[in-house]
Amino acid sequence: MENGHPSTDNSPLRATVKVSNPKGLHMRAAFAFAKLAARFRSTVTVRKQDRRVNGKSGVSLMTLAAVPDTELDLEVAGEDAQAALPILSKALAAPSADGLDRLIQ
Amino acid sequence: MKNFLVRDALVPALAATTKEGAIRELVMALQQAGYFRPQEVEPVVGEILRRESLGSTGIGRGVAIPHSRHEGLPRLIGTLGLSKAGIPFDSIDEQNVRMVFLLVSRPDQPGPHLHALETIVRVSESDEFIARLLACNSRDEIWSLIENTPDPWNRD
Repeated sequence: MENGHPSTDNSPLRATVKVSNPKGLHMRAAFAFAKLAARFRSTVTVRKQDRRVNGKSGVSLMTLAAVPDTELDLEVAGEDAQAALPILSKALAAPSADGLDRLIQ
Repeated sequence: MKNFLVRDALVPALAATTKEGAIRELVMALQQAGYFRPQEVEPVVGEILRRESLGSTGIGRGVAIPHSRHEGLPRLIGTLGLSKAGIPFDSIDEQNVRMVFLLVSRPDQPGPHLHALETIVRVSESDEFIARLLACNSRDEIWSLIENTPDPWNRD
């Protein structure tokens, strides 16, 4: 019915991302990701096996203890999910916590 | 937590009233417990302060986890200092810090460091744990609490 318009439903978009930071998803990386995620309206969830946490909370992300090469499932749901997913996937896979802000122009 | 916290370096009442002072006091406690040579204290303190300058490790609820990596350690080591008065730490919730968990890890072993962060975050989510920790007045009381607090992944 919404011909030509982007989907407005909230079905989540998903990506599987491997942690490539040699220090894993350490504290500063977790907080940098959460800060970036918080710039989107969509809900952001990060899952490691059966543990799901709010991707906008650096403290919660630390409870994943994601070591290098861990596969994480990223789930983004909301009006700007299409824009958020590629940026947040790239951030989660980034080899360094530095410069994640620059992923958003 | 008993796997990485060094009993002999626990500080039940930090004398320091500043972030830098608390970090130095805890690194010196690890040195006195035999984990660093005296000349390593200032480089380790400097490295931890450099990390703090990139963003505070005060994670809220009165907890901070200053940390750094250091060559030559046998394993991840850490200690814990309590401050009744509270220490300004630029924490994310802007509250003063009353529990300082200080970690120094081997550069080649990110796993134990990440698991220690997870453990500290998850035990700190418990109001009961925080209350019991803040009620401790001696090294023995802190150690007894630590020994009786299972690592969170054992509870899953």
